[in-house]
Amino acid sequence: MGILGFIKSQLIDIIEWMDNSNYTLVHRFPDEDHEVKNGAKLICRENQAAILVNEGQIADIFGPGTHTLSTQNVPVLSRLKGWKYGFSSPFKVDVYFVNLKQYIDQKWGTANPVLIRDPEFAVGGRPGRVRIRAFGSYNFRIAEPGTFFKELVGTQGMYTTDEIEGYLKRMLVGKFTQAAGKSEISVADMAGHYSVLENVVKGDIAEEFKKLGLLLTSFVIENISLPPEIEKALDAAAAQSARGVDNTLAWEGMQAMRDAAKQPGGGSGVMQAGMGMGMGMGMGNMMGNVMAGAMPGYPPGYPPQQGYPPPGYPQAQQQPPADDNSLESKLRKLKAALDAGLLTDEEYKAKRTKLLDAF
Amino acid sequence: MEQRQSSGGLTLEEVDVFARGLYYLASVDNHLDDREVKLIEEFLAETGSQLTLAELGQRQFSLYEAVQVLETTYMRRIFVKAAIALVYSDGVYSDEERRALGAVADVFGLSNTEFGDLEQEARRQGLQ
Repeated sequence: MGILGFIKSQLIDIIEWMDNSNYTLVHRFPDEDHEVKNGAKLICRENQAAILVNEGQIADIFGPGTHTLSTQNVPVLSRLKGWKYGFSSPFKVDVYFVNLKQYIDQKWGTANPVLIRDPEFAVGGRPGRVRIRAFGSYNFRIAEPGTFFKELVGTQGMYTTDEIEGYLKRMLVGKFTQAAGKSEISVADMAGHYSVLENVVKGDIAEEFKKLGLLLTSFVIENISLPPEIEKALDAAAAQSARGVDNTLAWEGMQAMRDAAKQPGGGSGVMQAGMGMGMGMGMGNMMGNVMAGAMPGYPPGYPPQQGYPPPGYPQAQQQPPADDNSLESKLRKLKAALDAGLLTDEEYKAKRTKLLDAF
Repeated sequence: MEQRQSSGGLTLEEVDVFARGLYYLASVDNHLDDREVKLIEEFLAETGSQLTLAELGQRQFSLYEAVQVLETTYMRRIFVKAAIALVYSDGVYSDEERRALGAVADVFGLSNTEFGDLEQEARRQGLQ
């Protein structure tokens, strides 16, 4: 290379960039301190845009096609450079290529469980809450190269999806959490309403993405899952329903007995005995509760039990055993008849004398 | 004033300053190597200049004229880089040559750091 070749090599006359990666969003054309020749060709491939940056300030933005860099088609740069009557000398400018293609199959997922309200999990007047996890994928592309460049790229020579992935993921998870919380869709019904949630997230995040010059082209929820213990309980409830069992306590008792039966003998005897005692006590309690409604308290004449009734509990007055044939009983009944006016004094005295004589 | 473009994208004035300046810097240590001579003659031929090597030796090179003709920082940097590459081409970078190049850089308003960077770039790219 001679001197003229050396000088020529300092001038850039073709500016283009071929992207072989699937992750490069922005790439600065490596000018190696060379200047751009007047009339140089700027070639933007399909799905590419080029941004001319003059001393840190965005000048002109070009879309796909071949552009000849002259005063006519770099109006902003001409103004920034102060070219009034056209330029002929080479000029220094930074050229950034921006990939406008779609970046597909970007992954998102909740790092931690998200707490949402779910009326189906409400118990005893307390609001139902449940923790869910979710994951899926999304596609995006750069919609406004200038905005994206201003907001995120700055002076970096190369900007990849890795650098923005974490931020976008956090934004998406945040919006998904809001959407799931506000949707008032039970977790059990969410599987049938993924598209509703997806559209809500897409709508909510559109503005945030626009501020960054991005467009969310697709947001897919692949799965929403519950904590393992809740999933297990739901499976058990489904199995109970499938067997046509209506009583949960009885179902659990049956399950426990079945599990106990599966246990090998030997060392499990103590456990089985304990389980049998527990079940016996449980049945005793159930029986007691049933009987309590029908037979409140002990029957008359039943000997008082130790510790029952508790102190202060009103006790029934103890009655002496009745004996209708005794003299005392007959005399009492006779006196009661006199007091009631059923007998006159003479009749009372005559009967009383007769009883005493017979005695 | 309408400027005529040479084949290298340089004006004839610029070619004239480049040719005289490069000749001056290559011969400042009173040693003009055959390779340096060949490169300068090649440059004159490629740019279509009417100047000859003998004329370059007779005509004075003025730094102030160079400043006036090479207006942009970029052209000044190219001139210094090309000059460094030229004086390196014979494998000798004498103190006289370095001092003369430093003086040019000073007049062109280049800092020592910029000059150092240009030296490294020129050595890396080189003239074959």
